[in-house]
Amino acid sequence: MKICVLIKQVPDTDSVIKISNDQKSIEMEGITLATNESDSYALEEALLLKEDQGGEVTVLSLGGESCQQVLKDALAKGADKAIHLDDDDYKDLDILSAAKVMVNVLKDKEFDIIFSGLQSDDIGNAQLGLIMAELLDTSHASLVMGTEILDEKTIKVKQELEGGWFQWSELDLPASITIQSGLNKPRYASLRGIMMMKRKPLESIKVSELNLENTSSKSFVHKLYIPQKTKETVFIQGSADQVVDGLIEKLTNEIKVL
Amino acid sequence: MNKPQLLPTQKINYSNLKGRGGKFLVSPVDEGNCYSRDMFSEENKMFLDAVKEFAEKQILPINSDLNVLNEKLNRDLFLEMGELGILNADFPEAYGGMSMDKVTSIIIAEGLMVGLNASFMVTFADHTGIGSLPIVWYGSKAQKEKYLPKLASGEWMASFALTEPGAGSDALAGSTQAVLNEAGTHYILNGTKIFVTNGSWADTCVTFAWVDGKKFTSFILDKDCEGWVVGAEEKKIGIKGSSTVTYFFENCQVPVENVLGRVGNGSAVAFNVLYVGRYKLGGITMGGAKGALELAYEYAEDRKQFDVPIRSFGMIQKKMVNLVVRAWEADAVTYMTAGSIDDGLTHMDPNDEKYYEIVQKVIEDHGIETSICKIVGSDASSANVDDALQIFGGNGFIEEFPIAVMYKDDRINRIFEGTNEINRLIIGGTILKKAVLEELPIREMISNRSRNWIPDRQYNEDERLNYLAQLIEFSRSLFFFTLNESINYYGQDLKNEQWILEPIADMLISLAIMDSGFKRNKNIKENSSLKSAMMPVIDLVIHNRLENMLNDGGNILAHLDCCDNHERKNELTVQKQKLQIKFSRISTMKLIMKDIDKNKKYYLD
Repeated sequence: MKICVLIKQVPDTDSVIKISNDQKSIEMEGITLATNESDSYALEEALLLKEDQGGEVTVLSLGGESCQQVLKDALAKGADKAIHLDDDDYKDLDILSAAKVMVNVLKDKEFDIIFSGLQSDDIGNAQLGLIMAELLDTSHASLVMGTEILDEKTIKVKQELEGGWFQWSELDLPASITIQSGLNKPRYASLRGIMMMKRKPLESIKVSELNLENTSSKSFVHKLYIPQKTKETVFIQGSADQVVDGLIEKLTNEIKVL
Repeated sequence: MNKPQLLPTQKINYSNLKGRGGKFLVSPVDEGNCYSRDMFSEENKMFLDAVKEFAEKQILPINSDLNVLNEKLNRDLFLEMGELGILNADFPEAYGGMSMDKVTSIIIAEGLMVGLNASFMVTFADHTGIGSLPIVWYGSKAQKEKYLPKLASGEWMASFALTEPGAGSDALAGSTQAVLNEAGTHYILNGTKIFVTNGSWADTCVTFAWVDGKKFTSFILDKDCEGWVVGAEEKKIGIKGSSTVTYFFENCQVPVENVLGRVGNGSAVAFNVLYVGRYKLGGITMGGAKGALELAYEYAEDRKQFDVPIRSFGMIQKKMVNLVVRAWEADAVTYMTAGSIDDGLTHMDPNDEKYYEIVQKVIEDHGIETSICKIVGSDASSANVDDALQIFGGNGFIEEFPIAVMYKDDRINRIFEGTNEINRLIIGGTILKKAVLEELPIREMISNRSRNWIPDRQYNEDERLNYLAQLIEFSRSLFFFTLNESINYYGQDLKNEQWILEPIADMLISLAIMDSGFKRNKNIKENSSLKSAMMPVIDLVIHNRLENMLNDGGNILAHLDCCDNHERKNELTVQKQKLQIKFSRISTMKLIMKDIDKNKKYYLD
């Protein structure tokens, strides 16, 4: 089984985020970078499948030089190969263009499964896995909470639906599958894994050297800002019954906790 | 003696000192390198991150459960850490370990302390250090095959029993006896061992007894040894989640094949593993000093009084800076020591038959450094939990706050692995031994520095660093002058003069901190923000330690002057006048605080 896991390096959730003066990006100084959370679960799912079925796990990341670190972490945890797509002059690719860049490299590699995290913790497009499926003409499932290989050609996936419902589906392989956090327990890198990491191949490809026709971005960041916090107090007037009815109505329909 | 003698200048070959114990003492700041965390390899950094992540996710959340005796939790952690290589980095590869270097073992100690659980760290350190290392170092092939794989994987837990009611710091005063039975198959042990860490949980025990009343010998006990009786748990002030008991050997039957090393060779087993315990405890307490700092900073930021965070008050800020400085000092000496031991073992193959014999020699050669790590780490940790608790105010006295537990847990650090007093004696004794045996060019240094306390040379292009280098070299000369005067006065008896040996040890400690801290700066990338941010810390540390040096050296010299009515202290006064101190403590500390606020990094990771 040949599996590819798409991994993104994002600011660690503990980092204090400051918006740059141009209001189009964040200040990177003092920011700790880490593997996108749901991508860690995607990697773990890939490693578990490899342990069960045999095969090979390749990890791929698109970004600056620093994102080699998340690839090395993945190699230390047990991935076999890594591909770094160095985005040098192509830093602001929108999600469609980013997917096209990745497809450029992945299309001939004949992966059975491409795993990715459900969405990134920074931009949060939640579209990559779906676009990959379209561009590579594979089957697709999102919000996956469990996987099971049925045979060489078929994978069964458990998907999370609305309202606490789940659905099992069978997909033909190859497939592009996006993983929801929490379906497994991502492993720690072992000392041995870290020592082995250097012996595994990490290929770095410059995006500028790829065939990039039709990859110009169609969407751009206009402005980043931190949401204004507002406090609003509403007085519900009337008799006790009216107040209770009003409160239930708000809790049910506006705040949606009932 | 009225005037110091002018001795001929002697040439010292510094390149021969790489990997040698005591190198820091005789190498001026512009000679040779010193290992620091800034030299971590990519693997080192990744491993530190991995261990920290493990501690944050697997230890921190169950911290309070680990503060009461819970064998299963400790064993479960051991098994997980065995899988990850955290438990067995020091074990030989052939027996389930990783044969890693000493820097890695400090990285593990520091990383695990992110879990802020001293009880577990004691259990862990006892198992991986004194509990298992004697078997790694002295075990026969059969002993290694029988015990090490299970100790490396975490399936078994180890203990080490040396202390007896009448034999604490004087370890050879024990009275446990071992007699060979008539059949010649077993040694029969009788005696009592106290304060045995991991005692009631351990599957193995390395212990000691006198064979025929005169041959101090080490034995491995396991659960098949009849007569190994485990006493009740001690009620301790702190580290309440670690097991501490008395062992009673009541005609305890130990097979002859369980003699560890040779009959009569027990003292080497006992003392050599203790060196390792010391630098590892240095790493653990350095991690603890950082942990206290993190807690204090977080609290000082959240806690508001008079409508502002208490972090904005000068007296709290002064404490914050001192917390940083102590952790920084412990960090510098601990990694310097581990790096130097590793340097001494470069080119050695861990599979070589003689490997562990050489490891012991190299570690023993670093006897001064290992004791310095223990003292500096435990003193830093002790002062830091105290200051941190003070920052917590009344809340710090309530046990629901982690700092209260850390405060109580910390107290043992200045006692076990050799009390800090015994460790000062070791430092003093070792420097005298190295001088007599000429293991270090101490005579040459005494001779060279008698001429000029601040050799006239450009140590650094940067004006401020050059000035600081001069202060360090002055301190180095002061040490050699004081040492020489003390040796001249006391002769051989100096090794018994604890009034003098203690300040001599303290001077060496100060010098090690100044030297390794300054040399660390050389390892940091030019023009990096870390390099500039660390400058005020170096400045403060060197001035603090210079003050200590002047104080300790001055006290010794004044005492010698009193004893024989000579005027040695005048020389110090004359030389000191050549120092033109340019320093404002308050401004420097304020600068450090400003940077702590800005980066929240403390220059420690």
